[in-house]
Amino acid sequence: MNDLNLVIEDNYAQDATAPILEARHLRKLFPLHSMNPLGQKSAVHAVEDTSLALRPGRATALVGESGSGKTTVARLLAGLYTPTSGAILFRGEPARLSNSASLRAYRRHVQLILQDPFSSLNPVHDVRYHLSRPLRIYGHARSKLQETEQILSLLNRVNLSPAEQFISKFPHQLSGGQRQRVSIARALAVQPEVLLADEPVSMLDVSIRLDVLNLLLRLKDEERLALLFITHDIASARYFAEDTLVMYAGQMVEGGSSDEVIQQPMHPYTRLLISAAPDPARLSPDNNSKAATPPARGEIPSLIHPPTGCRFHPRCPHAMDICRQRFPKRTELGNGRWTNCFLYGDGESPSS
Amino acid sequence: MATNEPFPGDREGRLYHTTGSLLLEVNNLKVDYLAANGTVHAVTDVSFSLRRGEILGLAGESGSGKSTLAYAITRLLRPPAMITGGAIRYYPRENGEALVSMDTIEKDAITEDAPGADAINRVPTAIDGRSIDLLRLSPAKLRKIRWNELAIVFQSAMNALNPVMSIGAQINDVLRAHRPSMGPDSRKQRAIELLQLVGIAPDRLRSYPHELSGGMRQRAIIAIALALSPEILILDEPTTALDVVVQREILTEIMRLREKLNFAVIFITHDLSLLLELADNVAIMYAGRIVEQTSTRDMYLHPRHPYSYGLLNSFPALRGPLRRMSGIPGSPPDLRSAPPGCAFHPRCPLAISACREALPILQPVQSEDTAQMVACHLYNPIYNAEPPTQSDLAKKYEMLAERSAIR
Repeated sequence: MNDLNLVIEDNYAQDATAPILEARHLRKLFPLHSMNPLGQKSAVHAVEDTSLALRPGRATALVGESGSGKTTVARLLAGLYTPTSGAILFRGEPARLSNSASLRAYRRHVQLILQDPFSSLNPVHDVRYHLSRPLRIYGHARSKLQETEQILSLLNRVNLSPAEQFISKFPHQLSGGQRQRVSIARALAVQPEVLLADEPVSMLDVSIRLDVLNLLLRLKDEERLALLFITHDIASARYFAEDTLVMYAGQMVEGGSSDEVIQQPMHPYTRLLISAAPDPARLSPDNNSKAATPPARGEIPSLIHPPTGCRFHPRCPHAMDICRQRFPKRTELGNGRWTNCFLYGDGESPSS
Repeated sequence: MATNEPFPGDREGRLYHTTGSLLLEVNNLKVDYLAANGTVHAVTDVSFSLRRGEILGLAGESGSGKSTLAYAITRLLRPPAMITGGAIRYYPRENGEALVSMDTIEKDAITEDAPGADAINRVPTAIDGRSIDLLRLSPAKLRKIRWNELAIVFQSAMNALNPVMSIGAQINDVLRAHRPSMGPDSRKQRAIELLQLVGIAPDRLRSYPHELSGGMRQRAIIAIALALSPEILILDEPTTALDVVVQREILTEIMRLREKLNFAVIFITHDLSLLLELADNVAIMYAGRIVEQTSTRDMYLHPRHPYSYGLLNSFPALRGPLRRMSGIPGSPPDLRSAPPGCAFHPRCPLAISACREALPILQPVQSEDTAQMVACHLYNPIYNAEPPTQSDLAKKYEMLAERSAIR
């Protein structure tokens, strides 16, 4: 129990460490191809002006509903999509993701874990194959013997024991949790500095989720990995990550330390997310006021013609005229906390 | 989970003894899947009862038999699934409102009320003394019960609606089949009523499923399920495919409808934290058996079965101190050859030697609180003199967490 707090404090002490992977004003449009060549060109505005920084030994959670652009951000950072505009900085320098050689060099440092362990492993290959590919491609294993040795140690690191048995198994012989562990081992085989985990536990059974989360936490601490943890479950963001970023319809709306964001949510959307999350403790008498906040109705808007200004305004109980006109600038609230909401000013000093 | 804080939902009407009369009683139900490589015992000896207006939560991991149980109650199971034993008794409305009059039900399906000996502790005898055994109904009679009395909402809202029929046509379909006396106008009227009931604008009547969002589709399915005002609504993971915000809306809707229409709900989910907010009583299933059954309050304050405790602590909390949580080690057993004794013993941090040998049965915990039923040898004085307290459970799981952290 205390270890965790110590670890968290320890990480705060190293807050000054430079970010290893940084995204600056990332923007991604997916053009739509209409049948009419003369028709208006339209596009899905998946991610708008997104900035984030990942630091070694720290986990950052990216929270939002489906369709909020979380996965697009992960794929942009992994180099699977090319950003429409904006920059990705690795160790302070712009990452070159133009050709396959530079992408390969980039992925030596940045690895992605996918959501669905049932479709992210090749069903015709065994575990040994899945883990030997990254070892061979990135030159970590030079001989068959070395390879086997490293695969066994990888399997042990992700708690798949006895490793000797798992090495020759095929994906269909593994349970969901075991498959996800193989995916994690595959990412680790490259010896990356940054791990992008795209909803790593949402497809797993409830009792196994914590196991996998704890495994990622341990790896983060031991190997000082920078982790991006994408999730729709805000409670697990609090458990897992030091920092939380909240995303809505492609726009970042709030960020800061997980505890602060979840205990004192500022942006109306963050409040909505938290009030909607299952929480058995909600019904206690002192929390009645929170439970009584009127829930916003409606769903995430279409991103082909997104609402103008702040995209949350059609659902927002506090929407003002200005919210419809333009997107608010980031308001710093101190202590690393920020939000993009006119309720808290417009990029000027914190005001009411 | 802290055990010393008062139960938050402690308000009237949420206690185990809900006021409604007995509505459904399941006794020693067994369902097997006859597979070529061995029989899968998906549901084994499951007994519970449901009262009018009660929300019963069924929780467990995937593969624990929750959905099979729901399908068995509605008799929707198809081969290779077979109901191999037990009884499902339905107690119809006592007043004349009952749409299925007792005369239309075959005589042999009506049994004198005789709850099983094991159920005596918690099931008072029905007042009318007459019940219908759903397992002995002919298909024609079953059809009269289904939807009229017993409706089910399936897991995937995306697939449960017919993609080539508009929402209105699908509601109309139900009414035409089950209410032949209704004219087209009154059917349409009823369809509009139903959509309004679940918060969909009536102009959506002509929309096709693909024109609706996931949340709307789920609402539409709930509307269809409620078309004939059933007594029991079975919800099989109704919100799993939905986002948290939409999930909250749907749940609020279900709660509101229940207040209004007073139907009973069997709510199946893997998300125990959701159930605790919603249900009156909770049953935890593991490997096809109910391992613990109690009021939501008792479950929140003191889960007795080590599995319930583990499951309850698999969800990080939104509030309170951060602490390392452990989850439950291992994975659910293969139901073709479940471990001998208690099926949970290979994963249980508190297993004793008896757990490997003898099968625990669901019985009241020997304490002042008789409503809490648990199938665990640790609470049986024959095997274990001192039942574990909540802090014992917490300690064992914490040790487990530490061990896994070291590894």
